[in-house]
Amino acid sequence: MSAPPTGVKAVLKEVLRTKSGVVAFALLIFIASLAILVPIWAPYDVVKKWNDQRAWIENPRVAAPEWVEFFVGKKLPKTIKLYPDDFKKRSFVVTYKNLTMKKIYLSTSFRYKYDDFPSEFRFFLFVRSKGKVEVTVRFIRPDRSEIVISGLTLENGTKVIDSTDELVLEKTTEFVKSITGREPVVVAPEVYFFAVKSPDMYDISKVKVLKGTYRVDIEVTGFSEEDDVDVKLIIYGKVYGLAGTDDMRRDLMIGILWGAPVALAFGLITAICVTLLQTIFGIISGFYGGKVDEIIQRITDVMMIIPLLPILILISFFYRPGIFSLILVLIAFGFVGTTTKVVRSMVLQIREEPCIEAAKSYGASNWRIILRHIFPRVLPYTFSIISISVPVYIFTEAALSFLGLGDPVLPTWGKILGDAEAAGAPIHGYWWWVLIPAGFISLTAAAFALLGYAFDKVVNPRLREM
Amino acid sequence: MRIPGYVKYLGKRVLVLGLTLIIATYITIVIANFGGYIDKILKEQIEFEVSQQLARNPAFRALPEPVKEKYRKELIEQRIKAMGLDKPFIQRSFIYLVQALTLDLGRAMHLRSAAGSSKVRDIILERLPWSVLLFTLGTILEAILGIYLGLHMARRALSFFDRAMTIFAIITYVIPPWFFGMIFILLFSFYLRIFPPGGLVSRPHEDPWSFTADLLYHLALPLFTWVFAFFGYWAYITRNLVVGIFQEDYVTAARAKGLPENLVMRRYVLRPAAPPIVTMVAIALASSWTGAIVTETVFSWPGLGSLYWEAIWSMDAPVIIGLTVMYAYLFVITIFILDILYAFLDPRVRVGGVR
Repeated sequence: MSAPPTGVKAVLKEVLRTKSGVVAFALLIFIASLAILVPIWAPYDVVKKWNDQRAWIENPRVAAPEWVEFFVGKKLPKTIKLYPDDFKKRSFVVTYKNLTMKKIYLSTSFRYKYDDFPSEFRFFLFVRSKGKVEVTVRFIRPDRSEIVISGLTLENGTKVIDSTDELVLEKTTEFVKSITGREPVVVAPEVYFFAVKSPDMYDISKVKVLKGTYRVDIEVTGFSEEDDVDVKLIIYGKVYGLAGTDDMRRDLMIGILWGAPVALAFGLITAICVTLLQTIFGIISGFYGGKVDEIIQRITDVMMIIPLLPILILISFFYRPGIFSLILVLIAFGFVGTTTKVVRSMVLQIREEPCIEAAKSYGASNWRIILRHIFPRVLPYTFSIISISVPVYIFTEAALSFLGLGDPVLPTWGKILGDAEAAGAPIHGYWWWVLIPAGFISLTAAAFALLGYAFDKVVNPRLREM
Repeated sequence: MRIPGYVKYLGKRVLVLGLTLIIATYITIVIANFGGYIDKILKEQIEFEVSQQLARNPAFRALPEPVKEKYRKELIEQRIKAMGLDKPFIQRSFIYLVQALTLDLGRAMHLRSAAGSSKVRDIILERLPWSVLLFTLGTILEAILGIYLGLHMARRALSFFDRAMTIFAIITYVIPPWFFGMIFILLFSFYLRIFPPGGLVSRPHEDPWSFTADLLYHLALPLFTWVFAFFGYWAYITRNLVVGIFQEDYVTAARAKGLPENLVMRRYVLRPAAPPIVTMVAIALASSWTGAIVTETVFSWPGLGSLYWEAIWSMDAPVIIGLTVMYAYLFVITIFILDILYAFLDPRVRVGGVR
C-alpha cells in the first residue's frame, strides 16, 4: 500500500490519472466555459428581460424545443411573425360635404408549410384615430375560401384579437357549420383557420393541415384624415429555440444558460467558505485539545443536527434574502460540521508525528506548525469535501427556489424547475421544461461528485487499493 | 450499583439532543421575531379569543358600544400581561420557547386541518403520520436494499458491478430525491401511465381495505423515488466498511476454519460493520427529512413537506414557524432512534465498556 500523496500538485496529478477525475474535469471545463461565455454572449439585461412579461409576447406558450422535429419526423410549426412593415398599406380619403371618410387597406401573405397546426394566433391592431374606426379582417386561405371577421369597432390604442376572442370563436363556428352543417365539438380557431375542408371536420381529431399561401386582408374605415392603423400578426408555433418556452413564453435556454454562472458561483463560494471554516475549526480543535477542543466539539454536535433547510425556509419566508445573503446564512449555519470532526481526528494523528516534534524542538510557533505542517496535510481531504458539497449547495438553493423562496430577480435552475412544478409540467408532459434544466443540474452535480470521488480515492488509499 | 453502559451512553445523547432541540427552536424564535412576527401572531390570537368569548356572552352584548370596546381592550391587556407578552424580548423569548416546544403556536392564518381546526398543532399533527409513513418505509427499504447490495459490491470489489454501483451511489448521493421525483412523474405517470402523479388516494373510501390498497398504489412512486435516491449511499458506505473488515485476521481465520460463507458474512463481517454503518448514515438520514420536504411537494403527498409549500404560498407564518420546530423534533428523534440502535448493536456500549 503506497502512502497517499500529500502535496497539492501531487494530488492533482494523481486525480487526473483516475478515470472519474478526467471525466469530471472535462465536464467541469464545459460547464465553466459555459458560465464564463454566457454573461458575455447574453448580457445582464437578459436578466431584467427575464422578469418582464412583455418582452416575451412574441414567443409561443409552453413550446417544445425545435429539435424535437428529428424525433417526431414531422415539420412542427415555428412562429410566423408579420410586423407592420410586412403589410402592404394603401389608403385614400373621400370627402363629401363636411364628412370625411378614410379607407385603409392592409395586406400580407405567408406560406404555411408545417405538418401541425399553430398553437394560437394574435392580431395586434395599433390604432391612431380621433374617433372610432371600423375594421374587417379577411383571412383568405390557399383553397380560396375565406373567414371574415367583421364588425370590429375600435378606438385609439392597441387592440389585441387572439384566437380565444369571442368574435373569432363565433366566426370559426360559422365557418365549420357552413361546410359540415354541424357545429364543431371543440371550437379551436387556430386549428380550423388552417384546416383542410372536409365533411367530418367538426370532429377536431380528424382535421388535416391545409398547406400553402395564406393571405390576410384588413380593411379599415376611419372618419378623419389623420386616422391610421398598423397591424402585427403573430401565428404562434409549437416549437421554439433550443430549449423551448415556459408558460410565460420565456425562452428557457436563456434562463438555463444564465443558471450556470449563478449555480457555479453560488455552489463554489458557499462550499469553499463553509469547508475551509470547518477545516480551520477542526485543526484548532485537534491541535489545541483540552477546553477549546471540548467547546468546539459540543458546538459541532449541536450544529450538525440543526435542521438546516427548515431554518433556511423560515429565513427566506420572512426576509426574502437575495442569493448572496443566502450564502452568508449558509456560512453562518455551517461553520462547524462533519468536516470539523474528520479534520480533528486527522490532526490528532498528525500531531503525534516526529516532524511536528522536530518543528517544536527548533522553536516553531504554533501558527507556523499549523500552516506549514498540518494544513497542507489536510488540504487534499478538504478539496474532496469542497467538491462533494458544491452540488449539495446548488441543490439547497434549488430546493428553496423550488418552494418559491428563491432570489427574487435572478433566474436559477431551481427556479425554472419550481415554475415547471407549479405549472404542472411533469403531469402535462412538458418534458423539456423539466428535463433540460434537470439535465444541466445533474451534469454539474455529477461532475463535482466524480471529482470529489477522484480526490477521495487519491487521498484515501483504502478506496484505491481495494 | 453500576449504571449500565448503554444507559450512560443514551443519557448523554439525550442531553446533547435535547440541547440541540432547544437551541434549534430558540434560533427559530429569534429569527421569526426579528420582524416581530411571533408577537403579532400571539396578540392577534388573544384579540380573536377575547372577541369570541365576549360574543358568546349575552350580558356583554347588551352593553353600549363604547363600554363594550373599553371592556374588550381591558380584557386583552389583562391577557397580554398574564401571558407575559409585555416583558422585554429576552424574557418573552423563553415564554415563546416553551410554547414552541409544545407546538403551541396559535392559529394558522389561512390553512385549516381536514377536521376544520385552525390550530397550528392540529394541522401539523394531522399531517405527521403520512410523512412518517413515507420516511420510515423508505428508510427501511433503502437500508435493506443498500446493505444487501453493499455486501455484494464488497465481495466482488473492483468488479464492473462494484464500479458502476459506486459511481451511481456517488451521483445519487448529491442529487436530492425530489429531483428524481419530477423525472419519474414525467416518465411513469405521463408517458407510461403506470402510477398516479400524486396525492394520497384518488377518491374517498369507506372500506379500510380498499383505502389501504389505493394508498399503497399512490405510495408506490414516491417510495420508489425515495429508495432510488438513497440506497446507493447505504450500499457505498456498507461496501467500504465491509471491504476493510474482509482483511481482518479473524475473517480469514473463520474462513480457514471452513465456516460456510453465509455464516462468516453474518457473524464475522456484518456484525462488526453494523455500528459504524449506523454512525455513518445517521446525519445523512436525519437530513434526508429535508429532502422529504420538496419530495412530498412534488408528489402532493399530504405530509409536512407539502404543508410547507401550502403555507409558503398562502403566506401562513404561524404554520411555517410550527413546521420548523416540528422538523427540529423529527431530526432529533431520528438521531435518537439511531442512537438506541447503535447502543443495541455495539457490544462495547451494550455491555457497558467505555465508548
